[in-house]
Amino acid sequence: MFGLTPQRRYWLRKRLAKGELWRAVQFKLYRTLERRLGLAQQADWRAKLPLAHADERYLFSQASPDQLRAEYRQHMRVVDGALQGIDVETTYPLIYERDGRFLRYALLPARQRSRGLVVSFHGFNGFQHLGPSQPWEHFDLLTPWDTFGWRRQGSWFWGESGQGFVAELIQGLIAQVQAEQPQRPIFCFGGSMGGFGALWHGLTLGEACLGLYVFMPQVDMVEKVRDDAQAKNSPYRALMGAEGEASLPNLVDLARQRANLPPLLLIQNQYDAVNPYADHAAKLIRVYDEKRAWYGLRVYPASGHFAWGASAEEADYFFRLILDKQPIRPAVPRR
Amino acid sequence: MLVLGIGGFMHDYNCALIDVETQRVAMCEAERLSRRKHHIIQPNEDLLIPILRVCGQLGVRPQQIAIVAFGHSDPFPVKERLKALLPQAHFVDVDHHLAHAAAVFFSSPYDSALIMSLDGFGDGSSGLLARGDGLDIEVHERMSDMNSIGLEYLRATYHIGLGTYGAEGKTQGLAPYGQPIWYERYMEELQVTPEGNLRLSEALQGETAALAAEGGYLNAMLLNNDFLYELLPRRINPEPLTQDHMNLAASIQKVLETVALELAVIGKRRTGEDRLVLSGGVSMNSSMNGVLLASGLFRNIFAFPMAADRGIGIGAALYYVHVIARVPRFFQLKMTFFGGQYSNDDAVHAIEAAGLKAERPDDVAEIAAQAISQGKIVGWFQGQSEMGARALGHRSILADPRQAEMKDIVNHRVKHREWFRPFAPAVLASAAPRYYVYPEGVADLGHMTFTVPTTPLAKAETPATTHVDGTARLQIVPDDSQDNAKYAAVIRRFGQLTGVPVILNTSFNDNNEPIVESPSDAVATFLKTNMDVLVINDVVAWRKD
Repeated sequence: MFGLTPQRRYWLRKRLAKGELWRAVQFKLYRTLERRLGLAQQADWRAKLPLAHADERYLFSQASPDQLRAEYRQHMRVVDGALQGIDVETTYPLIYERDGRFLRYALLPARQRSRGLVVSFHGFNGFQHLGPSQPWEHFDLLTPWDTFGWRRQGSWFWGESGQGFVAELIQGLIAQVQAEQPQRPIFCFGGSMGGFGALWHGLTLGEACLGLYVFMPQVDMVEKVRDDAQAKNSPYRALMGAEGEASLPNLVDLARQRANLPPLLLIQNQYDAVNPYADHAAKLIRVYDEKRAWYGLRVYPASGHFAWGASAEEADYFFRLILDKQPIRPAVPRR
Repeated sequence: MLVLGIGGFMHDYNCALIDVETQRVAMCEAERLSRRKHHIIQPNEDLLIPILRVCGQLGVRPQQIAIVAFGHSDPFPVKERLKALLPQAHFVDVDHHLAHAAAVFFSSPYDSALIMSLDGFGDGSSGLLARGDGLDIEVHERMSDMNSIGLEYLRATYHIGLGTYGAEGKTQGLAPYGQPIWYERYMEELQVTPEGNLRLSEALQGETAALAAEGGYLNAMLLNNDFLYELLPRRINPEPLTQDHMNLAASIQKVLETVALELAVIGKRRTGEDRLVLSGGVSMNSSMNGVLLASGLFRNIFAFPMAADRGIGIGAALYYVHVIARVPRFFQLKMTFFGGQYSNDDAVHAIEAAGLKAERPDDVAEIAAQAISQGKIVGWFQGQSEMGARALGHRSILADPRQAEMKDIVNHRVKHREWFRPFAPAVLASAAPRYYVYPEGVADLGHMTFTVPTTPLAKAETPATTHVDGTARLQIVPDDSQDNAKYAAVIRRFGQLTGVPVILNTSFNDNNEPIVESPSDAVATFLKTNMDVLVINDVVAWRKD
């Protein structure tokens, strides 16, 4: 056939049978059409590199802080729509009260039919924290605002001075919200301080929590307190009580005590100076490994305390996958 | 030549259109149309909406606009979007504070004056002292945004738990309940230089460097500093307001007044001017303006009614027209009624659509005055809406100032806002000296821009509009007002019925919503705020029950 060798004919028949050749032709046609119609963008391979997203003007700069600031101001300003709300309080309109303490929160129903409740934990308040602005597609969204801790910028959704009263407040709030629909599955979501909150509360909820989606979380609070030992002000130290490090919340121990760990998707930058992978996420991953629990780990070859690729949309998808694949069984025990 | 001034790219998106040939001016604040308070521009938003509104007012098309003057020189992305929308226009950047300065000076009746613009921040500055003379603005001193008294006031507001940008007026209202016990400590951290500049210590500046980052005002680090945390913990609403919070409000208010006074003294010395014009968001602080008025330092003072970024569009346009194009001055801001106008038919349609009965009495002023005198609360909507944050009788809620409890009723039942916030009186000019203490002929007191002391008569007869410290943010309405004739008639008739020609006037909106613009906005707010009577132009509706 067409002057091909028997071996070549055999190869072609096999590929045709599998449909691979047809797919290859389709792909070629598609690319050609795209190019002819001018639709194809010249893909810049550098755009795929996380480092390429860093603003090179400010890398290794020798300018003084004032010069840098003046220069920075020329190039970066408020991006349209970046300011979703004028006042963080308005984005947390509801109030949960217990023992004379107030916890502000928001509860946004899902855009479509709700498949569960996501408890979203925000990062340290100091950084452009404005509260939730968008409901999720398939999950009701509960977002407590942590106004406790050092300068009221956040207590890791746990507490202050060795007292985990914020965690109790949040558990009370979740119970109150769940009381309306007790069968609703719960998921936890958050980054950095919110990553710790999502892990702590997800693990505390026990079987009720079906999944965790966290990025660049703090895990080892003792490590954080030691990191900040020389700092004049440390938000981590504010968590510690008179008993010292023993009074800090121990997430790794909490995970070890759980018989079944919920599926976890963890996203982390390789060089995160705030929460280095080895000091934090890795310690939790080790427990997941020990217990042969399900987890996904995505480490970006990027620097900085910034959640590359983490998004509410992906979490929404991840949580739906968990629901669709229920029950999630632990991985095969290690031999 | 049509000149469009446009600004508020961080908040309060607004524009103004000047037809230089016919000397007509139109203005629009986007929040009135979008119903989002302090309208922040969103991605994919139609930026032309307020522009079309001002074009409609002057009967022109956007394609005829020759010049667009931005009220910001920083490179906001929204500028590129506007350039694409108005490709025929020539675009000019006006420094934010020069736009503020131009807004007040070229709107004032003065040929020359000391211009004091104090703000949070904008284009790297937080304020300036300048001299306006004819068609020129000569900057004498510029304050950096690292040394911002406006931002310091906002930090205190945030620390007291009253909110962030736009909530500073609450701190002003709370201040008279406290004692300025931390005033000296504040002043140890703050210096007014002999040249008329400001220096804030590091403890006060906090993380002001975060200004350069995206987020600006909304970056919480920006709103924190060591100084405040040493005084007291930050309050989060709804935790109780304590005496400490009131003392902090009193302290920062006194600091602001001191700084403004010192800057004014230095500015007067440096420019030789005995007339003062005030602009920038800080000038919305009517107590500060009142202190400057009472100081006797100046022969005349004019405080711009849209002093915050709501007035940046008209400022940028006036800057271009006078400073760049050298067009002789023609504009003077005597009133703020530049907004939309709606017909009686619109009113009837909106009222009936809400299931209410629309009536057309002969004299709506009589109906309103009678209702107010009987303790009812009236939603009052007339003619073109006001620009700026103050309702001055075209989009107002009116009530009886004689009942002390009326303040709590309107705060709680109607406006759903904090108990301590005072209400302003509107008084007929002929009666004003009997009730309020102010120097005659120094300032235009028609825009609620000055807080003045009250007389014993006001304290006795109008307790609902007299603040706890015996002051009031006054609006004087000329007896023969042309722009506000029906409003004047209501006050006059109320005076005849009760012997007190003063009414309580507050903006026609619910808490945290913009002032109503259209009859349908007014009906919606009327229905959710427990008012008794709604008057829209010549049409009246009553609450159902």
